[in-house]
Amino acid sequence: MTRLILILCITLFVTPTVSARTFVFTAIPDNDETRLIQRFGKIATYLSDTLNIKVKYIPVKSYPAAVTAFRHNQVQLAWFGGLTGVQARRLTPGAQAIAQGQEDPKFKSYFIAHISTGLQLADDLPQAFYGKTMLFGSKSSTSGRLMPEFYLRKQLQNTPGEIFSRVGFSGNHSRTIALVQSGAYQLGAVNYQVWEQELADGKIDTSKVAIIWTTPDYPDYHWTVRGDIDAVWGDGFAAKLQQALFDINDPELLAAFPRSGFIPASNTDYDVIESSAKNIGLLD
Amino acid sequence: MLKLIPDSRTSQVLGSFILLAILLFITGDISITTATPGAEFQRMLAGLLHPQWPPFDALTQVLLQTISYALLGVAIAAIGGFILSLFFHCRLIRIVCASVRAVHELFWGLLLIQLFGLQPLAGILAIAIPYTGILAKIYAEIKQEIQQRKKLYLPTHSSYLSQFFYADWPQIKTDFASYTLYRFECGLRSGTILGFIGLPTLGFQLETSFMQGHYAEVAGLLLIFYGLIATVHWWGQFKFWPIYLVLALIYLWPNIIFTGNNLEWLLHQLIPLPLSTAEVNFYSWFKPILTEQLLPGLWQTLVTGHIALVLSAALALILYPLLSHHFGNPVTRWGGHISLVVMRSTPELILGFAFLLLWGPSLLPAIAALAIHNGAIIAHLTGRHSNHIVLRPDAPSGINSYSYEITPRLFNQFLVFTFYRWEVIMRESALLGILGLHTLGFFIDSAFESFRLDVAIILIIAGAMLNIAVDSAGRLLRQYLQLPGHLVISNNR
Amino acid sequence: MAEKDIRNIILDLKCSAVSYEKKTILQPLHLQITEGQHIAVLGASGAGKSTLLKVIFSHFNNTAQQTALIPQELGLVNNLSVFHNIYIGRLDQYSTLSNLINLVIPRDNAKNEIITILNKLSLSNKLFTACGKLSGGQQQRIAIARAIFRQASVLIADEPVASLDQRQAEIALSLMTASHASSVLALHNTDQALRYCNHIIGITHGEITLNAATAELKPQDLANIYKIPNA
Repeated sequence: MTRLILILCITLFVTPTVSARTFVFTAIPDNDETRLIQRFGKIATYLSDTLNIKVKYIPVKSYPAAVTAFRHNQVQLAWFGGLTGVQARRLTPGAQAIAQGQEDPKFKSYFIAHISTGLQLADDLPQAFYGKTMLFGSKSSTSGRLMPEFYLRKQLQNTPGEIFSRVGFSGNHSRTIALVQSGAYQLGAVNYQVWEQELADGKIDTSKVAIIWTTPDYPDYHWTVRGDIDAVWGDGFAAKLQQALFDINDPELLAAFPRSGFIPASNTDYDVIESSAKNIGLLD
Repeated sequence: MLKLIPDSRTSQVLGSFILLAILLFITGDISITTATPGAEFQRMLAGLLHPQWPPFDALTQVLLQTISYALLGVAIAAIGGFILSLFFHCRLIRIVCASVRAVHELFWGLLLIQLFGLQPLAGILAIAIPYTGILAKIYAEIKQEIQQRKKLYLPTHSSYLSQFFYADWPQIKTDFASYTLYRFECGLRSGTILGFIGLPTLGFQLETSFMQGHYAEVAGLLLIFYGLIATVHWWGQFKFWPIYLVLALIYLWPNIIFTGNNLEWLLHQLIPLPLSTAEVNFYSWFKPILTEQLLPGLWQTLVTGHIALVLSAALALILYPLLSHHFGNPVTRWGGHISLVVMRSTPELILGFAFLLLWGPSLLPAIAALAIHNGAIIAHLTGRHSNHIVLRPDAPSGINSYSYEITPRLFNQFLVFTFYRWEVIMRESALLGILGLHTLGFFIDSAFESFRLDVAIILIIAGAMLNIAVDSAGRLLRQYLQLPGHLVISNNR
Repeated sequence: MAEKDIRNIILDLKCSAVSYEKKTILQPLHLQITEGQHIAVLGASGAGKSTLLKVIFSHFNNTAQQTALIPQELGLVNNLSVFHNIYIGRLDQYSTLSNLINLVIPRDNAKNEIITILNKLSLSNKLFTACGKLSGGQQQRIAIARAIFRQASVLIADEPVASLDQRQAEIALSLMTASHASSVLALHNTDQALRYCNHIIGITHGEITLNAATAELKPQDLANIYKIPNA
């Protein structure tokens, strides 16, 4: 018996040991994990081929988990949203935003509503919001929480707690759409790109849920690397990495994101995000 | 009520508990808001009936991670708990133990992830720290019970330790072993749910599948989880532990990183902002935390916990006959056993998520999840206890026996089990805030999301104090009702 | 003798030996109980009285006779009130639903009947006290009340008055024999046996050594029961 278990365990425990020289990156889990693994698996292969090093993508469970992994050097590169990028750079001195999607400087969010509310696409946020139930994405999502809440407060001059009878956080955009579509919440705020992608995939039933308002543009997703990356991976590594990101032109890869290409980004591009977050009390 | 329970203290206490629960249920935030819950329920049911499994590699990885965390966590806790139990007569040690076990594993996990990052050390210690507090207390209770017997056969001047190892240890080691094994089973549950906050255990897969609506895979993973728990007495025996521990260490070692410099950073983050930054005024910083997070969070935790406690007790009274030899036949008891195992083993967070999806957001999903989980546990203990009852030859049977004989006879023991769960229910009701309802867990999770660890730690401490208060209230109530004293539960939950 | 045979035999008990852990507790026996008999079972402790009573009770269960039982350990439910403990005697005579309702709202006629019985046993002030809070003697009287409330034709009682003082024991015994057509009582007081029962069964080392009507009894017969044989 003992021997049997011993043999069983040894065979099970034969595990690939992770090489010390693997370049690891992550991304905020703003979408279904299957899609993330598909998208970032491709990026890992591409970077690995281009930079001639081992590159691995690890999925994380939540937005703050991505920030924490970055701060602890468990990942050296991360695909952050506007707010998580700011959080990560505040916690990790020297970290740099290096690239963003072509669409990302002009990102936006949709407010969506279950059809039973009777709300329709409008130029301003309606007073009818009062007393409804509202679902944001992750608590630290830029497009699913920060910017929608920022514009909500600006237009209706009240906090979400005062406007809505109930405020919830779904964790990610796919979930937000599913829960508003099922009627669990009446209203929701989502990343416009996730909405468009799910719409194209046929996952959205437009007879049940519809867009009712679009936010003004703001900067959002971007790649951030740790400041110590050149010291560990050799001088100029950050620049090579940045160039590799700019050079992505495989349509399949770009479609998986979906972005039409990557362009330079810098830390100061996100000052507006930081000040918005301070404005609504998400940052001190 | 008064006539049903002749003891006036018991009927008063129970009457007010039930009345309060009804009052809170009516006034509390409880509703079913989903417009079309039927569709999701059908998808869920269809998935659960056709279980699927993730690829073998991924499954093996998460299982090994879960088991390794539980093994190492419980082993550390057993050693730490044993040492602390030797000094349990010291007040300070008791306070430390009560404090560490008043904080849920998941909150320890969130805190330790900040210290170590997403690596095994965070998961192992998230289990080891609270379990040390629990094991120290239980070990001390077992020892106390044994040591109350006079040991006149020992030479009067033998030292404490030699008395302990010659007279007490041989008697208590089986109790220690069986309780520790039970804790290992709990450790497997804890290891699993640590996946919900990002550690790569079974819960990680479970949450991923659940959140994406892959209910077939949820069913498959849950079946594996039940299997793991149900067979733990076979594969988890202590004689295998030395091998297991070595293998677990070898397995996790490449991913373990010992870092010291983060501690300083963490301690700095835990200092309230006004104390580290001169320009922030303490009052204006603390007031919104108090009025918008701490007090509402505590209140919602109490409301959820209280209603869940009363419902758990009611459910337990309905369910315990499923296990009792006084009712049914071997086939119904077998079925009852299986359903109670499923009900009590399914992580509350998963149950909560499922109900949230079906009923929409309110306290109801959390209350239902807590009542089912804890009701099944109390029913299990009560049902087992009922098997000790011997009836008169002319005793009635069926519902008459249930209402006039068995239930009254085990009622006091049932109350002990229930009040013992009270503290656990409160701790879990704080935790279920992670689902999005506004118990303490919601605000703690939010504080971690915005990296305000100083706020998080204040809320965690408040939750711990609530738990310690409920724990003492439970003890006082047991004394007031003259119920049996402490309770050592082994091999069950 | 001829007169007895005409009377209605309510139990014809033929029984092989009863053993427990390879020790014979009761020898094979043949016993007939007729209607109207109030039988005292006498014998030294450990002689097999309780076992005999259990055998008699289980055989009565297969007949049409309604039986009431007072076991030695009483079988009371400590957490229930005196009222409910006595009411248990008639659980099989009402519907389950009304039994459940009676738990919360006590039935009035049952209450009156029970108060009458408790009055006779001087316990009427304890109607809604928990049984667990009563003294041993009080508990024994509750068990007696439960049996009387059952209104069975046969009573089987194992030392039902052991914890009662003489006056209370006599009240209880007359009440028990008066409210049942037949009874089998294990007793250890021979005076009480002779006074309240019309038939005596003596049992020595698991064997029935005496089986006679009280009227036909010789003084030496009773002494023989307690004698240690083959010492």
